[in-house]
Amino acid sequence: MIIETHDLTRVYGEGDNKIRALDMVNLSVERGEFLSVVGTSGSGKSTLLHLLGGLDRPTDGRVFIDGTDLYSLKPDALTVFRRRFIGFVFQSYNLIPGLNVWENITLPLGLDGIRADKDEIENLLASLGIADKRFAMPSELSGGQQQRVAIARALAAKPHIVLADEPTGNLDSRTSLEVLLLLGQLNRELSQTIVMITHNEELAQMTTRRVHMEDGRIVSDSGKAVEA
Amino acid sequence: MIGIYMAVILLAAAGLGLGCEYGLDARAALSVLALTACAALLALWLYERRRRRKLNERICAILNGKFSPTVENELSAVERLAMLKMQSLDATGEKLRRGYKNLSSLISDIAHQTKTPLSTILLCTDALDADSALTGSLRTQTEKLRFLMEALTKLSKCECGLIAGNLSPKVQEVSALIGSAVGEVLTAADTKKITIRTTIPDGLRACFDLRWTAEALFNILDNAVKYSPEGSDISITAAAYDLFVRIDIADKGMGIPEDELCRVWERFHRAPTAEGSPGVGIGLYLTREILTAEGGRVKAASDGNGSVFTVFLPANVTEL
Repeated sequence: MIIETHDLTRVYGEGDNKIRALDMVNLSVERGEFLSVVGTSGSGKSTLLHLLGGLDRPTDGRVFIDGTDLYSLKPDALTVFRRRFIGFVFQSYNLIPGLNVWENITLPLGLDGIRADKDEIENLLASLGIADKRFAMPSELSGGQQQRVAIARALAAKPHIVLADEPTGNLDSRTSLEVLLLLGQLNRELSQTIVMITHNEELAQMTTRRVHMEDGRIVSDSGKAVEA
Repeated sequence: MIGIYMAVILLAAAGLGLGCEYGLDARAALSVLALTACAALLALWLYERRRRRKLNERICAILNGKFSPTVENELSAVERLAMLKMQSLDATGEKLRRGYKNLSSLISDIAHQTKTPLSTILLCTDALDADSALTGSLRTQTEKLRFLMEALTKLSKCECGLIAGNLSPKVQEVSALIGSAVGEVLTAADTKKITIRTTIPDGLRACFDLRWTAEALFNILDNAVKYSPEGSDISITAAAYDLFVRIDIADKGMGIPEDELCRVWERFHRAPTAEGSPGVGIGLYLTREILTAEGGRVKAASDGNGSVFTVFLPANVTEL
């Protein structure tokens, strides 16, 4: 199991205002799965993703990433772990405006003292269809292209898992489909484990496993019925 | 290493000597000594850092499978070990693949061998009293068994990675693909007076394996024909995206309930509304397996007016 949660619970607020955003969630993801988490807003899917990525702290329960108990790590160690083993793709791309495409992609590698493998990154850019945009600034790119750069950045460090929070939330339906197809290709060809949040059932259908959330709980899981 | 330390000591001594030569007092000489020592330590630290970085890079290269069998250095032992490990991993993988392949052809052979006895049983059933309920049930069960055996043969092919192994995708005309898939359902469509319309942009090309992808499209079309009312239309529309080619297959059939949309791709899944029709729930599963194996995807949508199945094929050769 590359991801495992044990009775993961996150409560926001105090006393009467308590909200159980996540309620005893047990989820296991195998290496190479392309998992989509579907649910209405407020169903707890974002909270789940943030907890899987070490961006929040659970009220109760544990998260294991490839055997490492995420929240037993000291804050500094957690930061390093996150940078090395978890890739993030957000709805709002989060590219650094003053850096060009290439610099945006290789910046996180530099933090780890790894010299970027030029050929590898060029292949990645080519397969994402943005090879000719290497020296472009983020502001010169369309939304779909910016998201592809963000995907390349998440993948450049070869993370154990990629967590995508509504990656197509700001894109039109055609671009959304293309971004999803690209994620699917990366999942298949690099055996990259991907967990993606979406409220779009149409996109969820194209992933290898779908998990439905409601009121902080998993209400259905296609992984239980079919092997991916 | 020792050389570096010697150099540090020598430099320090030289510094001290120089200090005395110029008749400086002991204090000044000491500070010169301290300065020289600092400079030497800095040099040492820089050298060490460089060495560690180089070592790091070389180990990374070795782990990435870049061996240099002609160079003898302090990493040769690591290199050798890594090489042996990789070789044994390769061998294990090969063994597993062969095992899978054998198992799959065994299953396929057995399934094939059951064909004759099954046909004999069906023939004999025909000779029995046709009005008897027992004969009817014998016939239905035998038919079911035959479906399952067929499914088993098909499945054993894709379960053991035979599809992926047999696929040879290349960039070619999409119209050839659609033509070949439509050709297979024409008779069935004609009997139901169903018209199939195709809209394909001129010279549209994608990367796929013709035979298998046609089989994948056929499974979708076969369903479309099966579940469409007599005299209706099926439309096939192809369009180019940036990196993919999109093919929509729309029918005016019974449609798919929303909560079934994801489940139609599951193996042996049959919609409750499809109870009466023939089939074992293997076609769409196979379609999805084939398309995914060549870097494509498939999805289904449905409203009150029938279903739309959408197939995506990579526009270019994909290689990561």
